Amino acid sequence: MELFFLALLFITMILMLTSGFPVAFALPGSAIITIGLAALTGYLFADDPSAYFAEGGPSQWLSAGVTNFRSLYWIVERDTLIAIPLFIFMGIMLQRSKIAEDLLVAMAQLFGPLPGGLGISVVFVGALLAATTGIVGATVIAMGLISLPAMLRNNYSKSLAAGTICASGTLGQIIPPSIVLIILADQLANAADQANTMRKALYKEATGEFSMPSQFDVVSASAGDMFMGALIPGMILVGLYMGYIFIYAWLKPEVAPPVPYDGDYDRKFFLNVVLALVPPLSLIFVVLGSIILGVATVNQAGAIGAIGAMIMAGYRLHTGSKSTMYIPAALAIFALLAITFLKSRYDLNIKSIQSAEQWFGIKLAFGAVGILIVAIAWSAMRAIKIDDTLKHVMIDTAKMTSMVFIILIGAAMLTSAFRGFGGEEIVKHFLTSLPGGFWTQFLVVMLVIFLLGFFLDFIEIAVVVVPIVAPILLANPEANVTAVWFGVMIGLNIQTSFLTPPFGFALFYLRGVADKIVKTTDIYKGAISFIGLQLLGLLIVGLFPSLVNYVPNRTHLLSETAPPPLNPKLQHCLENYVLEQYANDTDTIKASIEKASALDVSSLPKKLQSKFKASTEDALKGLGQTQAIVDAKTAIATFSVDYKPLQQQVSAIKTSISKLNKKEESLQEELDNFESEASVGYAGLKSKIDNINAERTELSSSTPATWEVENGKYKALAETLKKARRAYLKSVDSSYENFDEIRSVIASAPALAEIEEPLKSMEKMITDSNDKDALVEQLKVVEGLFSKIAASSKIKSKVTKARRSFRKVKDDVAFNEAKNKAIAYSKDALKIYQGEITWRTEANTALQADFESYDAAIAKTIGLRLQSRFTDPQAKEMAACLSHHRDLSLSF
Amino acid sequence: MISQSSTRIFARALVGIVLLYLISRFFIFWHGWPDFSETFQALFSSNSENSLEGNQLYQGLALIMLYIATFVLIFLSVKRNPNVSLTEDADKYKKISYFIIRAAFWATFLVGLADAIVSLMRVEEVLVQVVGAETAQILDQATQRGLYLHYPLMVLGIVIAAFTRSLGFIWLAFLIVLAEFTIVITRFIFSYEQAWMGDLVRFWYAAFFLFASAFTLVENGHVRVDVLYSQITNKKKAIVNAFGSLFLGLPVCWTILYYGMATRQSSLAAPILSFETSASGYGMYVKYLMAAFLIVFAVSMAIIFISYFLKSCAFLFDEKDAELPMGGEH
Repeated sequence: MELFFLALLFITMILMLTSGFPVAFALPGSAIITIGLAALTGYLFADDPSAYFAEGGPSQWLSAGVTNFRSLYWIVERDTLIAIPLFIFMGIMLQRSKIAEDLLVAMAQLFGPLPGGLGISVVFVGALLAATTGIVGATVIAMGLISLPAMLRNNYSKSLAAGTICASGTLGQIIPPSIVLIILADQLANAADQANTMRKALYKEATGEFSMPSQFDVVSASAGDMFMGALIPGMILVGLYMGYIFIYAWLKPEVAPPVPYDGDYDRKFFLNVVLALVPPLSLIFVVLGSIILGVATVNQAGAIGAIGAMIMAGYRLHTGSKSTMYIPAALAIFALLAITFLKSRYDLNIKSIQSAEQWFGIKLAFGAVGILIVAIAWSAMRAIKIDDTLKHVMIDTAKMTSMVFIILIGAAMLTSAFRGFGGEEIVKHFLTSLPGGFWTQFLVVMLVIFLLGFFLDFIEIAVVVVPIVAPILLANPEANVTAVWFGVMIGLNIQTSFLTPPFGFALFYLRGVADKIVKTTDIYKGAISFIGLQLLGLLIVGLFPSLVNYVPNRTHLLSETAPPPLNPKLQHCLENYVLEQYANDTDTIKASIEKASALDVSSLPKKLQSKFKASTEDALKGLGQTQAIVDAKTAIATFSVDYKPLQQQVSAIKTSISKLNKKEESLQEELDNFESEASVGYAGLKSKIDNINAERTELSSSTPATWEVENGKYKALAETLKKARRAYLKSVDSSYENFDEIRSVIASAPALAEIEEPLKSMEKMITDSNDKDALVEQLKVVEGLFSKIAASSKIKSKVTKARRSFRKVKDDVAFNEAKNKAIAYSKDALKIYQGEITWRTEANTALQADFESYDAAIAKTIGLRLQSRFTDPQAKEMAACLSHHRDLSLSF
Repeated sequence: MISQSSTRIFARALVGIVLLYLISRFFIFWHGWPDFSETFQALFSSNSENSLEGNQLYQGLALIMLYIATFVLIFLSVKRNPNVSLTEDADKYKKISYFIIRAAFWATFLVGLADAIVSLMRVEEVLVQVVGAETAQILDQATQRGLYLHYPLMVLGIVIAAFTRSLGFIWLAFLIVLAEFTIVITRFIFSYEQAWMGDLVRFWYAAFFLFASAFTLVENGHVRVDVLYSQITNKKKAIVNAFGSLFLGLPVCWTILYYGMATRQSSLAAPILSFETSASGYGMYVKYLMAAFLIVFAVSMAIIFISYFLKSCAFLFDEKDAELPMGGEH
């Protein structure tokens, strides 16, 4: 029965959506109606309102829906959604203050004289401006009103002009900072979590091991990742569009004739162009740059964009005297420059003011911030006074934000109902039963999304379809795609859908504002070539996932908070990198190790001498063990050519069997509820279970006979690789650990020398003191000096003991006794210290240079895992390696 | 045939139920009055376990009487002024909805600002110096801060709303920008960031899109699938909107109101009653109000849907001042 209500849910939803009632309420409304009907029929015919739900009951799912509503802003993880009103504010401010229009006009004047120049500027401006609103309709309408007449006036072919505008209007979906990317990221992050849980279950089932290594985790997506991932694909599209227009215009000049600029190319012209182009472009670069460099969060970047747009509006809107026009903007720029200067000159951390100079710097910074606030307030005043611009911007922002978020809320209820009727299981079952594995599933999903794009806007698709299908696709270990890549592919796909006749959204919007001379067929014809370009873009991004994954990975690995080389998620790429280094330089590395083992280390104490010997020996041993890893890997690669199809076949059988097991379990439970074998329905159930048993036997017998043997072989190979790896890692890690220890001990000689004075004066300090508490404090300070010096604990412990002598002191007699004790300890400390400093200084002079050069020779290979972070070139290599989708199916 | 006045009674009753529901929740949660089901069980069940103590029974009966009396009053008020058009009634409800939004905005604005200042002083440990130890102790506890700081400010918000006519909530757009930009300045220049700053942005942002929804509906800002809708006649559009308001819009609002506040443990009632705060120790103490936003949303939307329903009906009844409530053609 729940199937019937699932179908009813769909039919109601489709009916309600097509009726034209606002989507934000049609979605949850149909969900509530269906849940209500199911509860009612359940109550009437089965005496139980929850009878027709896959699990749970009506009130449970409705409450879950309400809790989902709340979760939109209740949990901190979804905070990136806050960026949406900020970016909308920025985009609308740019449009309302006509900065967007100026940009288009200036670009057209600048590039007009080129073949197809006007079209190229439309693409460029569309890409930049649509980005900030991301609502197809708004952009296409704006561009259609501004640039279509200009293109037609200059004898552009109608279809090319219409196609260019439609395509450019949809570009904003995919080019950051688009709000749909933020919504996709929000949905995908959740989906990736679910996918990871599914993959862990799969791993457990396949291998029997309890926990999945974290390098097999599903790669999630944040809003920042989405922005960075979409950057290169977006630029590729812009490049394709521009290239197409340019080449087309060059081959057939009559379709897009050059538009000569009437005026002179004088200083005034260039000044105007610069004024129109530079501010909005720099704003967008600052916003995107701060995200990509990992400096600011997406929300903070959004606030910067919104304030920046308002300051620009402040001078653009101004109509009064020219002399005061740019003052607020100039003040803002001055304040920013002053802040940058102060920041480089002083430590402005307000929570740790340590010197008068720093306090002075902070006071200056307060002044600069004050100026910035004046500039912002002044610009805001202008935006309020002139044409009520700020009010209109706020109203538009409110409407658009509310539109987006109430849909998000509505879809949450729909998802809840969908789960209630068991829809998730059905979709999962359908997708996984498709032949051909991941890529068929992926294509089917993409096709569905493409078709939905005819009727639903981006946001609806993102919130309705993505939560249902994304976990299933992301969990697949064979393709192992990243959430970011999947999101970008969805984005490109919907964008194409919006362009496709006869239903494409963009085409409708343009039809609405275009002149009557532009026929609908012109618009369709124009769109077709751009659809071709879109498909080409999809193909490129689909074939080269690195185009998407590289930028976020790179930013992540180069950031301050980059994971250290020891991070388990990086081990696969790290191994590849190191093996490559060995392959290139084995001889050099070997020579350096041999040179190091020949070093005269007699200045070190015996214990460290033997450690060093062990270290070089381990290094050589590790070097010898690399070949085993390479061999084992090659062996697995050769073996899996034949093994992989077999493994896939068997794993499909296993999945079917485990499904049958689940079915049987639930049937068995039902069976157990019967009171006697004579009850009605008992026999039917029993025969069902028997059927399942028969099916299962058949399935198990269909497992190829060779499987056991082949699987055994594979396991043996995998075990060999694992052993080789373990042996190698043991050698190199212990080698570098020992070396690092020795090196840091001798390198501490100068630091150790610095504490000579305090140590020497300790005895006098104790003798002279007559205040116990003060003395203890002083000794604590001395102890603190050791904190950064390697292997100094022996000396430190003597100082500690000296301090602890005073612990139970109550009167003067005891105090004096304790003093004597403490003096004895301080003498001990000094004695040990003198022994240490002598050999350390000696060793440091003798060995430092050699050690440094040895370290340089092995830090990239043997010692790489133990470095505190990757060097920049290494991080880039890692990013490139991580950007490929690695097939993990053999491990599952 | 459905008459205009019966439509008016129906709509007025729908508005009445929403407001009465809120009032009854107030007495049930804050004053421990018995729920409807408890009252009915006490009245009609013979089982002595279900009986209510003397006072409680009267309280339960009073709530039921309140509903009945309201319905009677609604009936009489419509019958006494039979010449009021549906459009006039629709405008009245729109004004009520806007008033609720405006009051909620002022309350949100004032509470947000005041609580942010208190949180700043508390995390910088100057609260005691500024307001004295006794007040500081009050402000240190979520319940006390709610009762003695937030509630008076909310009342003030309602008073301001009664004397102003602007939309109000749109300023939240600007306030969010400013609050987030403050984080940018303090974080990047002075390396200073506190939990309450993020809380303030989240507080205003949640209010922003929830409060904006009713206005967006009136302005036809909620996106429609207009493949068919743009082709049909205005009469049919009015039917779609009347039907949708009653059977799609109102159920959503009622689901929120009912399942959010069915019991003291429900997902909206629980945080409000316990003055829930966010987990980050030194944040603002306003999380419980964010649950209340959803109630404001549900109530304002319910009333605006009823207004929308009346407007569509006015169009169907061919009232002379009726206009299609979907913002004209696009």
